[in-house]
Amino acid sequence: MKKLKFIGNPLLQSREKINMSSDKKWLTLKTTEDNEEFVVEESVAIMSNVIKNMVEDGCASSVIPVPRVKGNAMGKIIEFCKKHTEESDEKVLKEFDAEFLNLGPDALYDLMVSANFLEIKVLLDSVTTKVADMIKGKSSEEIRNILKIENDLSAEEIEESRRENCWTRQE
Amino acid sequence: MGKQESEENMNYWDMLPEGCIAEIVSHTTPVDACRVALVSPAVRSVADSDPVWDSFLPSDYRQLISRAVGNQPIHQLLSASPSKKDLYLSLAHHPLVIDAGDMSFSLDKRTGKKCFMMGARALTIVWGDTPRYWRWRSDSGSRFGKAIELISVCWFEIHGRISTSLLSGDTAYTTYLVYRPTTTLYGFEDLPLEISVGITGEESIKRNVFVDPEGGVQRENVTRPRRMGLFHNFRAAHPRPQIASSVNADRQNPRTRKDGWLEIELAEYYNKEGENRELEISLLEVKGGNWKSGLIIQGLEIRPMGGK
Repeated sequence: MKKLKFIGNPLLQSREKINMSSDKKWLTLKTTEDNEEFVVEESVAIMSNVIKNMVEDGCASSVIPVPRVKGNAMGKIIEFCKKHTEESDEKVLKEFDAEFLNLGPDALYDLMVSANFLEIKVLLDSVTTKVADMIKGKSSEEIRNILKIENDLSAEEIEESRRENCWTRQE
Repeated sequence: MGKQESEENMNYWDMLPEGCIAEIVSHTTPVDACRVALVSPAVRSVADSDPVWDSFLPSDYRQLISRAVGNQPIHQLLSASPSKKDLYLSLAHHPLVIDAGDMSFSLDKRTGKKCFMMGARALTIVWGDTPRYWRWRSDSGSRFGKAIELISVCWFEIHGRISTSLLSGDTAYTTYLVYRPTTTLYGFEDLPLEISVGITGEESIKRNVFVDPEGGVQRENVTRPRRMGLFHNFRAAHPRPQIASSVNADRQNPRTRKDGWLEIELAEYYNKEGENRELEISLLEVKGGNWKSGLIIQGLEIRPMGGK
């Protein structure tokens, strides 16, 4: 079952109305993993370098397929891009980002992988900074837990690493 | 969320492109990068990688290394194709002597911020060229191979100047006098050095600092030999009453450094990004009128606050 999502004016009910309105250009993005469609302003969509290139290559009229990104991640990404296209006040954007990125590690990695794939630099920078802040000042064990990485080092390897890096011990 | 999905999420980190992991680690600190390296072998190779450690090195490190004199550990290292992490650790552990041997540059290990020491030769020392007042000596304990010894002066005035463009941007710095007392240290006991740190010609931070805070207590009732000149330390003939230790409590004590020298904290300076001004550090004792003697000075150090 196709779901049609309108990002923008909630009062608009059909694609026709959008096509007829004003000078704004609209695109349809379709996540191929779960077939969700998103109608987005072109100015918002081209925050993704990948989509920007596609538009410049002339795919603007048809639906743009987006592989690897799931529907709910796409929705969040569009929300982010929309805010960053509309708002120019640095302070407001900072507050928005802080709230927006208030997510668990899994959701953050989802966003990061998608932002990396879609080449949205602003989003990628925000997420990597957020994850970096999460691991700053933590011990190796805590970092392993936060990032959910399996510890596959042998006891000797751990000891050797510790010796090499002993100046990082929390004093 | 089914069981399969949560298992997938367990391996999420492995699915992250290396470039992303490197980006994340670059946004932390050198200390954090070393802790991340302990997490797993796969993560270690990224946490130790050149892109990460290149981001920790100051942007002008190549230029500073090119100013190094003679044959120092860095030169041996450079001939062995070092990683950026190797370079970083070398600059943190082995201060690099640059610019005709009068200045040294190193990195604060924890943050990667730049540290500098202006050797005695780089300072303006009033009467410094007159051997009866100040004498140059070779000194294997000094990173510059030399130091200047205070023989005896009435007028103690030293200035050090450094361009703020050398310093790391948006960093709070503290300045230090790096020195050693000799057995004939005197004249400083009750007289502070008047310190001034700030941009030349502008408002500066002023402090009083005692290079010999214990001297008042230790030296009571000791007669000292008369020094040359019209002025002599008449305190030698008039022993001081016992000074209560509480008086010394508000005098900051010199600290012994890892290299065996003493350092006394002077004042701080906040360096803004992108500025190119001249920072001046001044030490004066010109009001007491008494003779002072017995310091060997290696230089003036400037390093980030909280660094050791």
